[in-house]
Amino acid sequence: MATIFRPLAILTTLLLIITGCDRLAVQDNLDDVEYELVDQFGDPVNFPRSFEGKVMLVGYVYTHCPDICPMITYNMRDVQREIDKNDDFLLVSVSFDPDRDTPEVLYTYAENYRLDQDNWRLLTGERSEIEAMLEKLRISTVKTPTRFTDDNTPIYFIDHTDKITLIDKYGQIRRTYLGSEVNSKEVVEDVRALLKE
Amino acid sequence: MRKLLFTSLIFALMFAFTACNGEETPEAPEEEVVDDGVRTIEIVGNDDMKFVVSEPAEGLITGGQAGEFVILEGIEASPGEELRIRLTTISNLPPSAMSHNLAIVDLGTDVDSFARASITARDNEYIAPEYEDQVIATTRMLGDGETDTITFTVPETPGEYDYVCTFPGHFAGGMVGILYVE
Repeated sequence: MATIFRPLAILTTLLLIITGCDRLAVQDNLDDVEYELVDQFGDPVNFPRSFEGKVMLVGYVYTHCPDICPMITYNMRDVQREIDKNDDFLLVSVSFDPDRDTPEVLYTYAENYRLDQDNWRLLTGERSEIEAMLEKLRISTVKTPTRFTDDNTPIYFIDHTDKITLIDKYGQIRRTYLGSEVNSKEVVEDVRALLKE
Repeated sequence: MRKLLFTSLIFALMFAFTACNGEETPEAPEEEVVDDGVRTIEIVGNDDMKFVVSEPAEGLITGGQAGEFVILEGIEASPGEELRIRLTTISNLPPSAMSHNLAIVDLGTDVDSFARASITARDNEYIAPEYEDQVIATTRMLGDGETDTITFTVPETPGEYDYVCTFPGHFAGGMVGILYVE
């Protein structure tokens, strides 16, 4: 019997590889979690419940980032601009620097980056909620020691995982990408595939 | 003899690696201030990602206060005028985290795309090579305490020419302005 199944399994695997279907295989789900956050407009958000039924592209940034985060945001913006307005698609940027990234700061950030905020939410909140969410989404952050300027402004940086997460309408993580170097056309294909499900 | 050669080689290599560490960065040459009648604008790039000047002046469009400086929002110039811009970065941060330049681009340049393309052009002073022909003038990328001066001829065509800092995130952070040629 095993001699029959083995070639079948190999054939199925090969087919999946060839068609690329397994790249959107379910990796994890967010069924059992919810995080109380706030968006750039100051409106409360329960993640992911508030966005149930939407395909989400989630990036992780902080507005003082001098290198990786601008590229992540631009890459996500490329995806947004490629996909026609669709009520079932949402972009989400989660700040892991809640002390500095208030809703007002995130709103200005979105304006400066010329993001279409109709379907883009930038989230911040209590540090404990953010940290729990990041742990679930497998994002690591390491803050450098804080220095203070003459006028007592804190200066620090945050090393962080360079990632974008694609979540389907059912709150399942379907794919992750290297945020700063992702090929936006590939993401667009994946988003369109999930929108059709 | 062979042992002596080996020891010398080790010392030479140690010296080479120490020199490459960049601990002893040579000082940038002092900027020579020349009074040749060319209008000179002293601009500072700060940690708030803003171009600022020490005080309002004729030919400058300024905004709110930024510490001891005022925010520079624009520069007025005449067509064909010779203009000098001296940019200095003042920062509490290392150059890898906070550096500034000032790049003036031609009319019709999609400045958003230019800034977006330039963030990956670290090896070219953060100026995207494909946009170089649209850059009228640009300073070098400057870390804290560094100064660069550019002297250029203002274009003959009247219009509003954008200038930006192309360090990653700074255009989006609002480090922009307009050269009004009229």
